[in-house]
Amino acid sequence: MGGVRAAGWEAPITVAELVNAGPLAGARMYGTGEVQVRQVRIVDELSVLGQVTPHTAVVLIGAAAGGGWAVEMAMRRAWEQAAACVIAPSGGLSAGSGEVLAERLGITLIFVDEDPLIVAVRIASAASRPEAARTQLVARCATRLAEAGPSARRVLGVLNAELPGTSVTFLDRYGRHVAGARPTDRPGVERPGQDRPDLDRPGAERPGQAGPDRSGVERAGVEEAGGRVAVREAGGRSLEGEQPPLRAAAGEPPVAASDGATTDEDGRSHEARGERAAGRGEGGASRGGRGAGARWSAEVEVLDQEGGVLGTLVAVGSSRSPGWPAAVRTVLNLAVAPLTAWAARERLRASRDFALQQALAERLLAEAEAEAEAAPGTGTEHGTGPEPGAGAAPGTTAEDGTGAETEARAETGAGTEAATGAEAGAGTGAGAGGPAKAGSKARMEGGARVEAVALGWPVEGELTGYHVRPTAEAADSPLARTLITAALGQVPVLPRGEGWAGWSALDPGELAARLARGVRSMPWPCVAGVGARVEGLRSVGESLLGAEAAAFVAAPGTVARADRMGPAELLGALPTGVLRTPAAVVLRPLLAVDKDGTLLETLAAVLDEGGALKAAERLGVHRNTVTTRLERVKSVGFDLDDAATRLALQLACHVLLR
Amino acid sequence: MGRVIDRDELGRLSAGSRVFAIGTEESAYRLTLDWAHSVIGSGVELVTAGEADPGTLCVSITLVGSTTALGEQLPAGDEPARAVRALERRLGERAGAVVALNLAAENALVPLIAAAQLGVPLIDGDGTGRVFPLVEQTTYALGGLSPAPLALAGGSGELVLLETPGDRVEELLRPVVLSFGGWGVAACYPMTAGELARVVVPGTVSLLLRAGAPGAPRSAAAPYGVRTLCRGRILAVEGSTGHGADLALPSLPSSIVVQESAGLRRLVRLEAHNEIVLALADGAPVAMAPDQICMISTEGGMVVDVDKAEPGLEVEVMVVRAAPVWHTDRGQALGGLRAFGLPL
Amino acid sequence: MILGVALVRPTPVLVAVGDGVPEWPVGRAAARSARRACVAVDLSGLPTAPVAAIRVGGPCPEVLRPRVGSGAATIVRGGHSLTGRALAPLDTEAVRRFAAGCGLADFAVTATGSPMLADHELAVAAIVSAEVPGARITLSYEFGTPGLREREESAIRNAALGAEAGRIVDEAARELPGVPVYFARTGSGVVSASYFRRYPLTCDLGGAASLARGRVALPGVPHEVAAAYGAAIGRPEARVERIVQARGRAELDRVLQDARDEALTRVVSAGALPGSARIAETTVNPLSYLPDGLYRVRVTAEGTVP
Repeated sequence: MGGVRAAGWEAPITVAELVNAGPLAGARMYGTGEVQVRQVRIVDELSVLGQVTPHTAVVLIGAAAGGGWAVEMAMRRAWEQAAACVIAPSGGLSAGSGEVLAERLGITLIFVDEDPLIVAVRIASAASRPEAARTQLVARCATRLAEAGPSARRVLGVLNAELPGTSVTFLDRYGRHVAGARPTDRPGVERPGQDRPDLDRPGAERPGQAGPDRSGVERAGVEEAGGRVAVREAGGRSLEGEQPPLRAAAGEPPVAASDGATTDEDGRSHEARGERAAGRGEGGASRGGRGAGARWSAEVEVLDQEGGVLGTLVAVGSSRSPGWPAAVRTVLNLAVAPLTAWAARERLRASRDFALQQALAERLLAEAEAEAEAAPGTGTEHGTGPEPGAGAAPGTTAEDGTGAETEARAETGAGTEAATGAEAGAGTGAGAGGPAKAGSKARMEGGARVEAVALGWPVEGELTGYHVRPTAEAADSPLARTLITAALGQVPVLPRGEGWAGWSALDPGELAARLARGVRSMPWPCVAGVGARVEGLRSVGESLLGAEAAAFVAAPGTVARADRMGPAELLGALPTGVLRTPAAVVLRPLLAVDKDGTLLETLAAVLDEGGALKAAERLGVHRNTVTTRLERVKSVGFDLDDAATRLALQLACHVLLR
Repeated sequence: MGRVIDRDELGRLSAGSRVFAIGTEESAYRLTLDWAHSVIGSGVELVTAGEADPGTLCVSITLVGSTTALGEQLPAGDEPARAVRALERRLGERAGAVVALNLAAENALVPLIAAAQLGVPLIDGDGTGRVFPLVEQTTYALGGLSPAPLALAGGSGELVLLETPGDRVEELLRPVVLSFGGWGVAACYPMTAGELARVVVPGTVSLLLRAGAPGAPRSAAAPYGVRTLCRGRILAVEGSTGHGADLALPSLPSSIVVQESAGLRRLVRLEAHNEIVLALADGAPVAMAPDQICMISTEGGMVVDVDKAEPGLEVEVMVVRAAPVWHTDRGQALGGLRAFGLPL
Repeated sequence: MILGVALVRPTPVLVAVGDGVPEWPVGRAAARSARRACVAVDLSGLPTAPVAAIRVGGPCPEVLRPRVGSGAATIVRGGHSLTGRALAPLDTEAVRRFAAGCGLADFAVTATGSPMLADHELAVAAIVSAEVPGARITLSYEFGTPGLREREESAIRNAALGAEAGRIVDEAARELPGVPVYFARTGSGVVSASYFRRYPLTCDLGGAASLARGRVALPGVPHEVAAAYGAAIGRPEARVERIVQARGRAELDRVLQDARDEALTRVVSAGALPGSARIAETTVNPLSYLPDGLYRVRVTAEGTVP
């Protein structure tokens, strides 16, 4: 996965990123925030602004923040210096005129309630290591993707939840929606009355930030006082009122456009600045709406195991942050492996004949989940779109959310998925839930349970899920089923990913022991996992998840127990191939000075062991040696006191050293 | 020799004196004009500083304090003469001419009243070429002359003589004026006609007489040029004025935001400290003290005072260029932006 | 039905307004069944009474003395500066002498500084009432505007119009027995008959104001009809203007509340239903070149009629 790190990955963080998810979260921002922040300058008198370099976040304090005129002049001078943004304490300038000027000049103005000095320090920290900030995001996504497992729906849920301001869709090779944000929800499709990208995404509003409503109120106020605020090109003006040429070199966009005034006096529409739209070749669709950035999109092709095109992951957003699409692309690449796995599993499942027992087990699980969902307060999600390659074979596992409406899926291939918001785990679309519940109830009474009882399957009481996964290609599912039931007794055996899963009435310890024998008896190299003990079929999906996860981290030929699984095992489950490049990026400053790998090894030891003393023991060196090495690590810019930094470093070390 | 300002000329002078005058209280202006009419008799002689005998003692006359207070607490009538007489007593010399400190509205008329009462000529010129809020902000001071000794006469018979270094006059004067009830007439900057000729902004009385003639263009009242900064609508008034139920605590200084109505539709911010001292267009300074910035009502053609500015009002923002001496370093220090507390 | 009345010579013009639709001419019986009548009248040209003007303040040039035409005027010591300081104790004896000796019944009292502090005007009113039973007394602070001469002029004119205003109100009551009568204000709104009787000046140009409103609403009708219609569509309104001193926000809020309360009281006396009275606008401006904390406050209240 050498191409993971897209161009722009190390690009400085943008103002919008700072406000969206960074140290300025909660601040009021006027303007697009698209400019990169490379450094911070605290300005207490306006004359200092003449020395500000491009891409500086200007933090106003003291006299420079004293009143509207000072803030406006600072905005103007910051614009002249191509600064990234102006950050002022709340209260100096009325929001109305500040907003208008921010739009006119195309410079972002941010009001903060906190002490500006503290804000400045935080921005400086984020600006100095933007790649670290993004790597944090990627690491978090990697972990969540690993947790999500090979499920298109869950993978897309993770992507949409973890990538703020971005809408991710998985399309099949014919361009049909498979999972993720609905095509109609894709930004770029304008809806009347919605000109803020935030509106497209429930949950995208941040506390304290001017949301659409609030913005509307403020605008109304401005318009009431001053009529239509038609904002046009903000050119530089000399004292004599002449208009100097636009500062094309600095790439300042004539961004601002208000309702009904989307062109400037030259008739140019307010498109994104060219370098951004074109520079990455991602074909961002521009539009002229107020406050809307150019639309960028990032696409990553997902191949199946045979190398054929399975589909495409498409991410779209409005941020003009040059670093953000790169970060998104990296995360999309992380999602390729689970999606490939998901597809392969679906195909395997389709290709095998597990006949009645499988279908019965599936029905049991589906009905149990539907029942669980019908109960108030359970938020299990239902429904996915059509799945490529799934063909006539219904989805089989409850945690894939296919549930009871298998017929509906097969026939319509659409429509059961909840609204976009549900992708982020927000709940279940009512439209999907209703009919399925009714149907499942009838069937539950009908006899699946009776059949299961006849087969000797546990359907009530304490249950424990298991999962067996071949680590090489396994050809013979019926054989596997035979061997598993031989080891575990009468239990359901479901094709599950590349392997098989089911549940037993045995407790986890006994189940693990028996499963270990079964794994050893398999003609293929296998691993297995055992889930936690749960009460009843309604919860067995959860146990199955645990079992699957445990199997994922189990050493070859062994059985892992989810209830005994710790961070070390989880770390071991990270897709190291995917993460290797971002890890190298994170650790680049360290690797540059670490000629023999000692520092990396020491850093990993310290992070793993949670302290220098234990690390020294593990490495067999003196504690002072570890301390000295750590000082070198810190000297290249790593703040080991920062929890997020430690997490990212630990992940990165793990990936690189494994 | 000079000309005579009679009743007809008085009407022109008063009209001309209002073209760019800010802070005019209608009541104070009218009573001053009535007062001037009542004392002008056969007229006041207008001479240039150069025409007077160089040794002639000239005294500057100005109203100090609040014109609102003047409109409420009427003058006894003898204030200008009393102030000058007090200065004469201090100096042991008779004043041979009076001159204005500035020529905005009442301040153009009070020196005329003094001249009429004393029977001396009025010098054609003034000490600012525009209005500044402080007694020390004059071309006289720029020329090295002191406002002190200064005699201040109040409406209830008060009389105070200040003798202090020139840079402390304002500081001492202000509380005295307040204790008078808000206004007084000052006689100050005693100097010879020879000195005056060197430091006066010359010819400004004649200029206002011409500018006040019916049909004269507004620009006639600006000796060093005037330009229109923008025409627009007041979008917001910050700081000084509250409207409606949600009232902001009014305080000076204040700030007026004007949206240009046409053309570039710039956002023009007018920063005011009693008067407008700085204009920003889209954040860029486009005019500032010592030049005079004023809003002219589009509808009535009258100067709109800062405290009368209201959102929605259509105004033309004009910049009257100050006399060249104000654009020197010393002039900037005395009457530039920093003198108004703006650290630019 | 609301009756609009344009009080013009030789005979008033009546317009009946129901649901905003004007009808004219209106018969006497119909007029007397009106829910209320709103009168548009310009007071310029009406007979004025000679006024006894009392100014409280210091001596001044002759040209700045009170102008009373055929009446009498005096200046007595007293008054306050805008900073609230008493300029001199009120010369109560001088007030008494003048009131007793002027032989007039319509008084206009104007004290220096009364928009800030009306004590001396109120004291003068008490003395005059005692000396001249039945005297009609106008106090200038009720008109609020700063500028002693302008305020005095208003007070004198109000006093001069009092008798004629009373006559108009009485005549209207005779013509339209049982019908509440309102008068159109200069500017906008209407006031009750009793308010008009006391403050006729607020309706000095009520005819012109009604005409302007009516012509916008009913282009093409005769002037008198437009004026009558314009009056009929007005609502009670009252204004208060003061100079206040407040140190800090809390005190300003308090003095503003006082001004608002006064405006609300006034609009009720101007004919508004008590429950309908509300503040339409409050404007506060600091006064330049005076101590901090001095503000000019203008409050407009409005309401609806029963």
